[in-house]
Amino acid sequence: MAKEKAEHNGPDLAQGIALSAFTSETLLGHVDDQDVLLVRFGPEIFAVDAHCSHYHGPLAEGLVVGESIRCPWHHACFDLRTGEATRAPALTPLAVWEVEHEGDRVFVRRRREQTKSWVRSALVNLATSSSSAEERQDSQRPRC
Amino acid sequence: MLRRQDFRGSIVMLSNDSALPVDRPNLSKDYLAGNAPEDWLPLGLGSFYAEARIDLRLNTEILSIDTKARNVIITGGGIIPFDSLLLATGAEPVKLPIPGADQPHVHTLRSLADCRAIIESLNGARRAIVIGASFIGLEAAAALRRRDIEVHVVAPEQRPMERVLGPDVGKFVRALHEEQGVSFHLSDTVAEIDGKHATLKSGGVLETDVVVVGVGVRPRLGLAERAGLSLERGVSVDRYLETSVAGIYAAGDIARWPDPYSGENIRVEHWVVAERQGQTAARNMLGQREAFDAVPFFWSQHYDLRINYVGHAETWDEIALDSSIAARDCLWRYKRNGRVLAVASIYRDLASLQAELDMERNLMR
Repeated sequence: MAKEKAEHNGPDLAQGIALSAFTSETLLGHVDDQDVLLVRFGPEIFAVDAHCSHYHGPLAEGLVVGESIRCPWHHACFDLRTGEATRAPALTPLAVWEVEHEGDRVFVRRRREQTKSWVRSALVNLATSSSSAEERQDSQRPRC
Repeated sequence: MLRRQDFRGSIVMLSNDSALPVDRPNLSKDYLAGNAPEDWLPLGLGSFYAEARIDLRLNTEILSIDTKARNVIITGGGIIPFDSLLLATGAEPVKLPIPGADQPHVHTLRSLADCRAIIESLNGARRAIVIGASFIGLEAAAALRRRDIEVHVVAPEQRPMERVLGPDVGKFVRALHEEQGVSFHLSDTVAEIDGKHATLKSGGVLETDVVVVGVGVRPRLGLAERAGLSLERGVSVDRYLETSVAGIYAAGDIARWPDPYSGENIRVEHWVVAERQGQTAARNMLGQREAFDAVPFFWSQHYDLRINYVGHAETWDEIALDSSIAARDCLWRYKRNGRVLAVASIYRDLASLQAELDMERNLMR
């Protein structure tokens, strides 16, 4: 039987795209079988999962507000830099992807490692670590 | 959110529900329609509560809150001390004061248990009556049509959802449901339910196997009242969602907060508002002093059609329609004294997001 070929949106980001491929502030592409959304923010480019972690809404059709994106379906909001779900109804973060610049091309090949913050704090506490407040990473995250 | 903010103290979560916290909107939508698998329902995935060290106690009734000693007393005599407390007791469905409303095939819809009881009684059923033509009633009607149940909606208003969304949306929503085979009995009520016979006030009798009652909810204020918190048709909170007693916060269906956009103290019975208030309250319980300034948002799902609504308009003097209802691509602006208080839309998602942002920034025209 022929191998099933999944349909994907946009270019294969692992193969790289030219910066000129952006016709607006966002660009929808894929890495393997994952849809990934690129968002230009000044000189930076963020890459996150293209679907909302709430009901899988298409973030490419959402609204970019500063360093955040809002889902068109139920108005959930995510921090593009960290993937954090900053406003309900989404409660779980988006995967964030590494963006590599090579000349005037960008490549997306792998997900960034993320730890669930509530697991981190619980584990740290169980280990009775002496470090505490210094480890706060996301308390100053921008509001959207 | 407390854990996401790296709070490392103890968290006790008390609920008189028998089920873990669930994605409640699903209970009147896909889950009731039979389109959502069980694993879509839990809000905390898998071992969330254990991993996050949240001591979740279900089936727990709270007797009282001692605001001086700063503890909560639960049935069985347990005393749980707190430094900070969030009251999120929600609302409960209004029961119909009519003969026969206490029969087993007459349901309200709020909890997972309610939803499962309805699904259970649909087994072998052919016909259902939905009493009430607002959000829960009509979403339930749509879900039951998906199960191929004959649905009769009985409600006192002239048009469905008219009180919240106005006459045009009401007409549109009615037509949408009629296309899907729903029969409406408007300007009417059910006077009595006797087994499979429901007698209408207008005199007719409808045959039915199941009755779903969706005639609104009442905020659960008893605990707050007994604790002596300030009430004003809800629990009064300040912009930080703190009640009249320092360190005690309220969120969701029970909370009446100063809404910066409308300039009024409002109470909203919608899911996303409740979740966002919980998030803000959590941050403030940790001392962040963050004003709750999110513009209220809700959505309502009917078959494949979703109505999005941002803002809050209890009354209006003008509704401006942009685009056409026939094309199913529309946006309504609810205005009072020329100012837009709320925007409802169908297939205009980006405009809805933009309206939310403009209201937040007070740029709405």
